[in-house]
Amino acid sequence: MSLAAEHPVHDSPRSIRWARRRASAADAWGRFRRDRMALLAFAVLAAFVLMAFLAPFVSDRADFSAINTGDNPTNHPPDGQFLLGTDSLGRSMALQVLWGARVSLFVGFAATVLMIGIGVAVGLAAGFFGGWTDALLMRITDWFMVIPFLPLAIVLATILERSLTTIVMVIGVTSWPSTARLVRSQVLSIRERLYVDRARALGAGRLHIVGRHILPNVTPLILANTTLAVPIAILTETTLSFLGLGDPTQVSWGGILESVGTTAVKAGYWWQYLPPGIGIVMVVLAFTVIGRALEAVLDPRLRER
Amino acid sequence: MRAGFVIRKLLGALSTLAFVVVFNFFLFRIVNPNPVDSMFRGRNLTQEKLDEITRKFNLDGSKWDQFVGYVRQLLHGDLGLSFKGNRPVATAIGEALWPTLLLVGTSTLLAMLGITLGYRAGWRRGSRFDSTATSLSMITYAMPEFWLGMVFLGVFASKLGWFPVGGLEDPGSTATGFAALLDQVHHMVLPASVLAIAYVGEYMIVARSSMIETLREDYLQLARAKGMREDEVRRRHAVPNARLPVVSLSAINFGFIFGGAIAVESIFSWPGIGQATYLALQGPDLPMLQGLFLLISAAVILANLVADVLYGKLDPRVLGR
Amino acid sequence: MSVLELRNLHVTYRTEGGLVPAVRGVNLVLEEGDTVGLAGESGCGKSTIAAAVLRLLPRGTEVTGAVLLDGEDVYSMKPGRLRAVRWTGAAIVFQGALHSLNPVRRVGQQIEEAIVLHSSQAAHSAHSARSARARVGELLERVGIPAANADRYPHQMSGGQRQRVLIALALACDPKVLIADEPTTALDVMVQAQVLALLEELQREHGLSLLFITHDLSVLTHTCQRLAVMYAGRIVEEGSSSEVFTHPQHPYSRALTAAFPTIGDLASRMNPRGLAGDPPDPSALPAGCSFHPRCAVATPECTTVDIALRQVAVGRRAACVHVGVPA
Repeated sequence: MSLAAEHPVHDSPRSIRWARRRASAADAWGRFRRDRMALLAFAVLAAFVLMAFLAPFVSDRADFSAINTGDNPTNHPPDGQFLLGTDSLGRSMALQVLWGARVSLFVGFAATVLMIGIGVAVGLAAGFFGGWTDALLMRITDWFMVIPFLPLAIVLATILERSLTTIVMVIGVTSWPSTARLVRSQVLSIRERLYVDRARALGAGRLHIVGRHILPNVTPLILANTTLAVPIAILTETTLSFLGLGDPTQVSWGGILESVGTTAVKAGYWWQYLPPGIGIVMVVLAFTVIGRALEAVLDPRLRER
Repeated sequence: MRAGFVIRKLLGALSTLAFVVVFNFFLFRIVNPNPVDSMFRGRNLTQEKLDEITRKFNLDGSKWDQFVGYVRQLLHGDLGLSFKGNRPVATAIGEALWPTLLLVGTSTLLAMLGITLGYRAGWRRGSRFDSTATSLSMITYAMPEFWLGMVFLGVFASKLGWFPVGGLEDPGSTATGFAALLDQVHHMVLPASVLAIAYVGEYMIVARSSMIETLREDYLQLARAKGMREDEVRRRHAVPNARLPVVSLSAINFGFIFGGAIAVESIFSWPGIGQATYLALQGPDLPMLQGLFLLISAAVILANLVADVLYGKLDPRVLGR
Repeated sequence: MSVLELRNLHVTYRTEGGLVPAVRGVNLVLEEGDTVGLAGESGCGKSTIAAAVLRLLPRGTEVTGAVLLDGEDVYSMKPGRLRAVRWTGAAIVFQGALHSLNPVRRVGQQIEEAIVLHSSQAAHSAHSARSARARVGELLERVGIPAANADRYPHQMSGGQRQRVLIALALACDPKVLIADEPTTALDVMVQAQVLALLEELQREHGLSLLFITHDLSVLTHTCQRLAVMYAGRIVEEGSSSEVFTHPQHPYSRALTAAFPTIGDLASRMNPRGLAGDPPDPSALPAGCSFHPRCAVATPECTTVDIALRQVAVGRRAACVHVGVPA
């Protein structure tokens, strides 16, 4: 008496597959929801994204001209009029932080997309094709990994014209190796698995194998990795801007820290350098918490027994 | 068998170094196709001088000749002349090397305390120690090290006056010997703490998850069944396995700390490689940057080599049968 | 006095999903020289019993009843006494998969560790180190591995060799009781036979009491005099192994033995009868007899009344309503 006889199949294989996917996604979401820290992080992130969107509506760029047009008090501590005080040119710190959110978040996301894109492509190709392709790609990856990341980013940023695109490219191009390695080892382990062999025996083509077997198993890993890659991108952008390599026409949190510099610190103008830093910490922390929660949800091995 | 392993790793490191040299050369040539112009910007040169320099840099030769010339210079320890006053880059870097080694070395050792914390947190997963340690690690990891530097500078140096606002030593100090050393240490406390705090989180998190992975293993159960005490099981069986990923991390992190030192040194006016890089960026002082990039890459390659060889000693599985 | 006795043993794990009863009232007695097989599918609680004997269960696990090693209750022992008794009173031969041995330590050193742990306190001298190493060599030779291989690492050995190392390790402190927890499961058939033969030899030589835990019934009939079949945390049948194998009384044992084709009987080869369904989830056991959902001869009574072991004959018991007289 076989199991199949007891449970006749009514639905098509495809609908069963989607039903299963929906069920596991619902299950994952349920578990994610129960993680209160992750939800809080989500809320914080949403708040910052909102801030970034609202910036152009709250003020316009004229407030950032280099000349103190408004005769605002310079280096003024926070008060009723200026919620976060002003800098040495009389510009509102609060507005700068608001605008800074845009750049930091934008670069963070864009650079991550690039980083993950390259990393996944390389990892998939290396893992799937194996042989010479793999050896060559891995050599390149190793080289990139050994070259210290920040000096390379600095050198590249120095060479190229200073703009947001440059920064995004620089970060993306220097950070993909670890994603590539991760994806590659996952692809390799999936390839080893029996069901891929069986699919091949059944005559499945390469594209089918990649699409049906490899991608669905690699995707959760990529997702978790992406969420953890965003903080790295944001921190790198901040550092590059601080070193003066950012886009001079844009306000970014790193750029604010660069312009206020140690002068602000030594003079005790805490409202100039604390808020941008706190903003960075909060955004990065939010992404890290969400990333870890995603990892825990998607990788059953990490869950507590 | 082990000798073969070490040689393989050494050859690998050398090949990577070679790649870096090539990469370095071509990268900077793209930016600066004519080093003569930029070196002697605006100044008039006699034809004699021009010829001499052309010969020296093989500027009339092909790119390949120039590259060969560059390598020959490298092997003689000549890293070119800095844009700033034509000082030999090698000398400038040489002077800046020790302060950075001191700072980065101390910070790395301090940050590595995170490893022990991580083991403990992983061993007692879910405990209050664990959650506290993990939260703190995530928070410090999120802080850009230069921002933390600014905060520390503001609080401990400017406001509280406990530590100097910068430099390696008190300018004009006539102290020698032990007193001088003490002075240096006093100046180093803030920048070293900043770097250590910024990187301790990563060590802690990796050590912790490595320990958690190791806890799953059956051989721990076997050790207990043999009648071993719990802490011995941890020390003799769990740690030797859990520390493997940490060794790999250390090499990578070394590169990061070097990078982090760039911003921190500039904030604390610490006269090391990092500050040199920061100042070179202002120019940009290309020969200086080129030399610094080469040096830092070489340092990281060396760190990776050491880590690889150490890993081979700790994990017999990578040596091959 | 029995060498190992499990008296009404209950083991309940604490998980984030709630309490999971893995072992529900098991009674088992091993006298000196006995060889007892414990058979059942995954999840029936047999591996839990192995861990329970040496108190190796995770912290927080509820254990009631008694585990008596040479008359002493393992669960009342002080930590120091427990550590002394582990490996010397009873030792476990684990599955020889790559992860039962520490991959970064040499094989011989891991055996030596057990010896040194239990040698007398004065023992940390060069002399004792030498004698420990000599003993390691002896043990390895006894299980068919050249003494020189003590310097190898686990990944440099085959699965069969690793299993022998684990056996040598288990004998290092001359235990009275040997618990073999799925020792041949990860091995292919030829190697399985060798390892089984080795175990039998050693058992005879040393007069060991052997508790052999496995899901593979066919292995047990030769190696063990007695057999106990476990299902859902309980023993559902016990008796001499030949009897239980040839004349199973409990429907579950019947299904298990029927799954093995009898050599020579063509009909059974052509018609293997497996068992529909899956073993029950220990945290959600069926009411009444836990086997009734898969039982071909279940009666209405079986859905409400939990049946205890009943006497079928001398030394033969089975927990089924169709069998024997109520105990």
